[in-house]
Amino acid sequence: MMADSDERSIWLGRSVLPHESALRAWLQRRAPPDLDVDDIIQETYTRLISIDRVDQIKDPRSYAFQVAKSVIFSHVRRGKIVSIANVPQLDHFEETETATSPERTAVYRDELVRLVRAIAGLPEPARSVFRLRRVHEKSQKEIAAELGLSEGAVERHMGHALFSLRRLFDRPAGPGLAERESMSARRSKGRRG
Amino acid sequence: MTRESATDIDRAAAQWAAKVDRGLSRAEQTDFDTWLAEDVRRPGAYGRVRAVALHTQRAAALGPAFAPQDVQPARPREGRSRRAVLWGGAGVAASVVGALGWLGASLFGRTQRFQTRKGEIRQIALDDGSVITLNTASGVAVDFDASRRGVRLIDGEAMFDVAHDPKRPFVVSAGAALVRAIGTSFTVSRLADKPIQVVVREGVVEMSQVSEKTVAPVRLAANTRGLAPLLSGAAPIVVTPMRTSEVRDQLAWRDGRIAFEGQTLGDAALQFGRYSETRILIDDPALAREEVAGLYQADDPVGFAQAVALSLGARTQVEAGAVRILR
Repeated sequence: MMADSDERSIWLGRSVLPHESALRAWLQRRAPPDLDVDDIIQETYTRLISIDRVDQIKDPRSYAFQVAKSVIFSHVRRGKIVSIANVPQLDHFEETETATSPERTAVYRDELVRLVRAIAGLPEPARSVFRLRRVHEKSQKEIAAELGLSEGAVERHMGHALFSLRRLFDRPAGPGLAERESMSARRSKGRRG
Repeated sequence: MTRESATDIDRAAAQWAAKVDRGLSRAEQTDFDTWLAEDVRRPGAYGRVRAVALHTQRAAALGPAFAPQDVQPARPREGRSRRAVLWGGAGVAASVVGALGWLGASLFGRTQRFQTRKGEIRQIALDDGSVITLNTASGVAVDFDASRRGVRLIDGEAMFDVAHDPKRPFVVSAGAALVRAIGTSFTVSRLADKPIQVVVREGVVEMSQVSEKTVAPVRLAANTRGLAPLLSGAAPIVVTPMRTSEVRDQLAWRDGRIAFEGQTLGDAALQFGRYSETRILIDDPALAREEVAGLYQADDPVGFAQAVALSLGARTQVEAGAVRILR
């Protein structure tokens, strides 16, 4: 079942993760109170991984919403939640405009800015491990040698970094001007004196 | 039995993703499969964190000089530094200038656009005697006037053989980077999730970043590479010398070929993806980490896969729109 997992993960990263904040927001408002949003999200991803083909999915955002909805219904059917009355207006979820290509560039930039901040926010040595792995594209083994850490330690720090970054896409991917403005660097502070 | 929380699952999934990132042993693979099978939420949590792990590969676009300790993970509404203003404002200013320049040029009908399809390589002879060679899936907009020969690399990769004219500098803009030349030969690439790269074959060029007006341009001589972060101002430009053979390999695409010298098979598969719709699939991460070398036809991913499989003791399987390499 995990065959092709990387290709599928790349698809999830490009097509589904950018919409997760919207999905989460919708679930917060609409999911029955006795179901945990995080659980629904995880089960939704499980189904997105398990389907045979994704190349014919034209609108991954709507599709992910549909899948999340079916996860809720399967819990209803299995009697895991108390009453169907707890599932209000599940049929129409808000569908906002899908990103057009000029906007995609802005979103890409925004994601990169967000990633920069997230890396900067990691504690050491997870930050150095992650930077060497992702920016310099070194192997965990090379990183262990460079930082004088055991390979097991590098792996744990990498795991910690990935755990911290798992919420990278939770906030809405808006134009993010305020976010960009709040970005600052010590280098320039130094220059300013 | 207490139910495992979503956060616990995420934490375990992240550790598994870190293990997969360095490669699983056979025993670990069995443990991993067991772990996945024990709760319906686990494969989803893992797939999601793996997606984040792969998605963060775009951090490579920040360039080798990126130093996170120089960036403050600032809270909103904290004091804004000058750089913060630059970061916030530069993009806006640049896009306004870009839009005005574009509009002006379009009004006078001077801008010409050229685009190649996937797998296509095209040469464009310009009025001044310069030649642009466009690599696969690339686009440029050419905008010459009396004082300046301007070219915008919209996407992809191009080589510029610039005719000598000291009165009219030849300026290539590629996203956040600017390259200025008088008469030389160099390539500029602007690819997804990579820093903007300039490779100089002959002569000297100057490279700068659009947001860094106060920073002097960096001079690049023949056989050097300049890398600028995709995000303007995120890090300084890094210059590294190159061997002549490396420069030649970088330009192999002009003859419809791709050269590898110790890149991983996974990277090579991505490279081929730029040139052909036929995808190269590698499920085994250990196989994807094997190194490859040689010169290959860019439009023949199947031939490449078969040649590489032979040398690695693997086999290939041709499918619809893809070729799979497996042990």
